Amino acid sequence: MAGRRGLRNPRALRESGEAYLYLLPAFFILGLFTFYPFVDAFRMSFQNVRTGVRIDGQLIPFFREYIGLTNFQILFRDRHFLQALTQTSIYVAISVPLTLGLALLLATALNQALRMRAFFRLAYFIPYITPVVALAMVWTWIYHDRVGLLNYILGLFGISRMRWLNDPSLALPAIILFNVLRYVGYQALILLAGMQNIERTYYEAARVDGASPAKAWRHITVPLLTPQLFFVFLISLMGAYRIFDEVFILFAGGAGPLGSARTIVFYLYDQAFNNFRLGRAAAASVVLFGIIFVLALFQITVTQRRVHYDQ
Amino acid sequence: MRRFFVVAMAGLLAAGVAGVASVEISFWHVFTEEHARALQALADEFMVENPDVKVELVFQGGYGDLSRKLFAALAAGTPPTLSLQYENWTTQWLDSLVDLDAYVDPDVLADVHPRFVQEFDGRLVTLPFNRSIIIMYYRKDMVPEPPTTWDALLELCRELTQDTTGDGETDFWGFHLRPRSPEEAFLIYLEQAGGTILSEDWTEVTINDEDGLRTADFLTELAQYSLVDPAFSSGPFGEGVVAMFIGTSAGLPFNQAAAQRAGVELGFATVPYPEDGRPASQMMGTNVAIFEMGQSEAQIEAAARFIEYLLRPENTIDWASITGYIPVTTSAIESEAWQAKMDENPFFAVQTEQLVIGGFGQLLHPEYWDIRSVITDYVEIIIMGDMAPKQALDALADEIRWIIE
Repeated sequence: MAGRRGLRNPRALRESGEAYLYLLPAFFILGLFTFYPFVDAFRMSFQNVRTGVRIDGQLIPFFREYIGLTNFQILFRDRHFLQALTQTSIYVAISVPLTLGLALLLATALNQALRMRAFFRLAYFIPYITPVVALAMVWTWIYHDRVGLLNYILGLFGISRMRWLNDPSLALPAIILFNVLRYVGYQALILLAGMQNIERTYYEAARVDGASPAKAWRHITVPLLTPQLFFVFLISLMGAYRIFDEVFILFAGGAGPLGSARTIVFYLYDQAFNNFRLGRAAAASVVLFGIIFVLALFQITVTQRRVHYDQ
Repeated sequence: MRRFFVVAMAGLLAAGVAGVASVEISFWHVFTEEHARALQALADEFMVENPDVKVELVFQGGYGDLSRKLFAALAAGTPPTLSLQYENWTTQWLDSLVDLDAYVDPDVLADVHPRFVQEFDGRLVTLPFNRSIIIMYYRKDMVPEPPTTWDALLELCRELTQDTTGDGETDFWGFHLRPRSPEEAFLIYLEQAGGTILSEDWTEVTINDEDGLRTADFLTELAQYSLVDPAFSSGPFGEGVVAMFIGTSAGLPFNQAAAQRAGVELGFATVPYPEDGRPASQMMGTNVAIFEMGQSEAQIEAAARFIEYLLRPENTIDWASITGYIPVTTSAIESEAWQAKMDENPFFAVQTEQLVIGGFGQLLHPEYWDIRSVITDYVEIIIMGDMAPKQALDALADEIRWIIE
């Protein structure tokens, strides 16, 4: 309404013109560092990119030539990429629902009239605001084979030493555990905010009708929390597919035992910045984009129907 | 003639502006603290000798940072005049490097120790600067006489590997094996056994031949008496849980500190090799190269002069004695000054000997990063015993074949 009127009304036009002016700096910076690289990565995925190449006696600093789908063909024949794809998907499939489920339980607990509730809320939120690099550094010690805290605690229960970061079957679980603990507090806090927004009257009505607290939770809390659940699910799904930093630190810049911690972004990073194969790395990023895009689309179209908005 | 003209012009110009350097060259490096001071001292002295040249030393972070900055600078067309580089970077931007034999004095080139001479696609574009080599480190209290052969190494490791607390778990190991360092865990032993990754002309994959298999068998056995852990060896060595390991000579300060933590004396030896094999060991560290892109003829000429200066016997010896790298020219290594250093310090003696008897460099194939990466996978598989050596090597050979095609 305001927009349509704005076109006819000189004063409104001036005002919206001013608004565009204010948006310009941010748009310029985003354009340069986000939109342009985004588009260029697509272009690059169809190219062979090299630096300092001599073509007909002429040194070309940044040489790019179109090679069709070659990068994608290489990608899908590269065992390392396929491994990264599988492992990232397994990681997402386990860690996202697990974190969300725990966050829901945690939020329910925090929603009770607990003593020291503020303290618990803070305590669970701290891992989220701590820089991931610092956390991962600490966890490399927690997971250490011989002097690590985790193995020490397990030892108290008579469980023999686990090679957390050096056993191919434990690398992914180690990352999942790390990230579940890292994100659960943040997600719980968002869900908690949602829970506190649910009208008390629903619960009162339920109580009058004789519903148990568990039933009220199942039939009131969860359905009315779907907007938050949906939001957290989508955001964490997209984030989980882009996992990289924690792997890089936990496995000292490597891909873990037998590459068992290799993720899509790790592969992309390795190809671009260690192997200087920018085209192949760009192609990997396009595949990653495709996966996230399809999942998001699926989420929005399918899940959205089950989301209850309280109005 | 053209060179003479350039030099004369440069000289005239320098004189004309009364002492102000007329040529500026930049040198990208990774050195900090003592190493950086040593390099600065060398550059300062060079500038006194060559008042027409200003050498700007630029610290660029670690090797990984340096490689990415070089890549970006090249893409922008503004690389430095000189930079350190690993062989697998050189292969990526070979076209943009200067042929050093066109600029560097032939006598200086002839003096470079033959182990350090590396040709990229038939071209000489790099010269050695900060080179180290993998040697064996050991604790003197447990290893009175360092083993020199594979058999002796295995036997000693078998003796030393123990469960000292009696809880059923091994807690002391004869050797430390880093499963994800293909140089340390496989490539050295392969070369010692007479094997190679590829045939000389790079058309055939040879890693799974008889020599490769022998190497894998040795490794399988060694792994039984080794702590298998990807951490740098200084970690477990400092904890006092391993007796021997092999690692780059550039790691000396870390290994010395580790020995101190463990309260043991650190010994040095050349890497054990099979009795009928070669005493080979892989050279580490980087070379120096001149970029052609964006540089004037005068800059390239001045950079070549700086390289000549760095390779002078007294300078490469100075640099080596301060940093622990190896002098890079034959005359330096054979000089009385270096012989005296070696008599004084067994570390210098061991690493120099290791270089002379069997130093070898990286495979200079442009796809080396990917090749190395799959070798890493299968070496780890072999060490962990997840596949029979023969089967693992055949699968590895298939993957390498796919990469080089």
